[in-house]
Amino acid sequence: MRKLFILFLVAAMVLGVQLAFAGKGGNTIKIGAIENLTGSQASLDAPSLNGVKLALKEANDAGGVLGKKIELVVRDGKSDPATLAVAADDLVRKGVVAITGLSDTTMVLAAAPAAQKAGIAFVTSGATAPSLPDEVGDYLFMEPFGDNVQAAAAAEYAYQQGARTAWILYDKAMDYTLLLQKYFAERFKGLGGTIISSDTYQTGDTDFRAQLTRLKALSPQPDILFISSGPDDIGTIVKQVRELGINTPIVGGDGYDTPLLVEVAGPEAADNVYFTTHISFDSPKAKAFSEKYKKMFGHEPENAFAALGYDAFNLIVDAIKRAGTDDPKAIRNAIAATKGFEGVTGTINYPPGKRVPQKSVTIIQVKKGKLVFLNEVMPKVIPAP
Amino acid sequence: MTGKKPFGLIILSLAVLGIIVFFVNTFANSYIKRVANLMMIYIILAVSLNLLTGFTGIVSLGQIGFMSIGAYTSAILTLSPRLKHRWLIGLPEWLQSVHMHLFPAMLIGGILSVIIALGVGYVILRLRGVYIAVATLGFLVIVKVMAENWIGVTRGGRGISTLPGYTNLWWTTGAALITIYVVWRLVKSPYGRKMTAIREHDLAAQSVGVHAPKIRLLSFTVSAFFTSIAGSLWANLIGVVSPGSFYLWLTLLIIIMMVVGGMGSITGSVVSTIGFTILLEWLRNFESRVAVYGIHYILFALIFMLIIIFRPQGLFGTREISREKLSEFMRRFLGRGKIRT
Repeated sequence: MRKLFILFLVAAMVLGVQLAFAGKGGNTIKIGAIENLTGSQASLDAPSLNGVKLALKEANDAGGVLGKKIELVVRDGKSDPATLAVAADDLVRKGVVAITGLSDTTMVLAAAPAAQKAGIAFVTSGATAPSLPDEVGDYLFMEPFGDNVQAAAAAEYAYQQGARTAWILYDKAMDYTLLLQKYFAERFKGLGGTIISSDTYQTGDTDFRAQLTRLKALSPQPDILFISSGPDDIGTIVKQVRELGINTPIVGGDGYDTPLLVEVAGPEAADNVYFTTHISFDSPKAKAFSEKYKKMFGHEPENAFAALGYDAFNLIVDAIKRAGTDDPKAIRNAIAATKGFEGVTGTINYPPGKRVPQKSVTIIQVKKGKLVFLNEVMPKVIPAP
Repeated sequence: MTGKKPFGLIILSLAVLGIIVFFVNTFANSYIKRVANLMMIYIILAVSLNLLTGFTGIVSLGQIGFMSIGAYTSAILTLSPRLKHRWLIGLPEWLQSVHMHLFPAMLIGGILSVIIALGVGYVILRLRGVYIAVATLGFLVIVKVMAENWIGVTRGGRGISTLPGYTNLWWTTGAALITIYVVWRLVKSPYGRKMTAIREHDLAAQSVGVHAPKIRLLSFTVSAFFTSIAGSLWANLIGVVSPGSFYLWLTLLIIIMMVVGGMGSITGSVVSTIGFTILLEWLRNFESRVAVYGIHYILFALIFMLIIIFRPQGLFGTREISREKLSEFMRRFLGRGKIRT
């Protein structure tokens, strides 16, 4: 027992020494990245971190910012709110001047208040609830468009293509999926479409046959299925839809933008699936990004979140340059004043007083297991957040 | 040894603790504060689980369910009415307008947990051994499923966020001290003796007149009350409650902390909780440094296994640090000269 006790004491001392020396040393500018590298969010956040690392390498190869190198401090949030809150405090303690990361609204709500309290800007690379900046405060910025924008784009596109009736399935356990279907329904009805009925499931469910059987019993059948799902479930859902012989087009949001969709559902089942997202890797800008990404990590970007992470980091670096100082408050103000920032995922402007950017939406079709670029649109009417 | 000296020792330790809490709460950075707060919350959880499992011999896997109840109750009561009107539309009007501070919310959560524990315990505690473990696990699942599906009240899987964050180190340390004190007094009381008797041999205890169901229920309820308090503090510390937060990982963590400390030792629970909290943070930092994420779980499990293999009774077994032992310890190491004179 004594040995173990000594072990604990040594561990405590090592930690203490680390704490004592933390945050010292002013030759670098520290930027924090908080991502869920383990747990349910890992398939979105790990590519996002890779994007951040690529941007970091480029920035430092170009001489850093304000004559200093940038140091990236990474923390794993483990897809767990308590860990996220501690990890965010940990980043603040390390003296970071701004924080980026996270692809889910609930996760941001656990982590970002620590940054808000400390007066450090938090630019979420992937969370898309447009109400987020109001819930957290004036230090929270979104790099992607809000869900109201992408849902409206999906509704308008579907309506243009002739869809008049829709059936909705959504995950009621996530802010993202809940809001997405709400905005979609609002815009689709606004255009004159009808929602025949809607059904729900919950993250972690693996059998959707009950809901799909109810769908099959509908008469007349809907023109499209709007399935509002997170990245973990969409592959399984699409697979089961097609297994039941339903070949109706499936429409959804950027939660589909994961390799899991084609991997789990299989190329045949994933055909005739459409979704809105942040980037198409077919565009020239994105191709250049893909190549750089491939050179650094040995494979193509897994999904749009890689590009979002890359853009979010560059947005912060750009703001530090414009602020001309590493003072967190000045950086926050510089981010708020961003105009015409050219990212891989689109041009970013923050309208005065808003911390959700105006950005265009990319529409993708899955064809024979490949993601094909269809259109880049700015919806005409956007539902209020 | 006179009777006054140990009492002075307690006052002295409390004063030292108070000074530490004051300095940490006032001057430490938010990270240290957050970890210290979590440590105190884990102490409450481990000590109250120890009362149930270590002292009374009831293996419960469902205590975190009471934490969830406490957390949600205090979240609902402390959330600003403006947001409640928007999010928690299933609440009755008067409850939507209520806005409380942490302390009353904590107490109400505790009382609610006690009521539920009385009901659940009355049924479940008739079972024995592993069946109790399974039934309490069922309780945990029910609480989680309710939190996920009672959307008008709990906001479902999205959780209730932007809580005011009333929790500070005074609250958590105070609650931890009260928990330790109450559990300690309880296990030293005749009730505590009966609990130990039930743990050792249920039938034998009953044959000498111990009313086992009543004592078990007492232990279960007290444990539920403090677990719920820990949940309230957690909610206002992290700022967001969601159903997934109060589930298997936390259940496992607290059981590990308790088992490693020693089932039937309050001191053990406290020491091992402090040790594990620091260890976990250190491992997380280590993980970031070597950039291999997830390795922390493996190391954590490995340490747990080593301790169970080489010291199955836990660090402290059933022993406690008593005033006498502490005085003796101090005499031996600090005041060796004084004894001789």
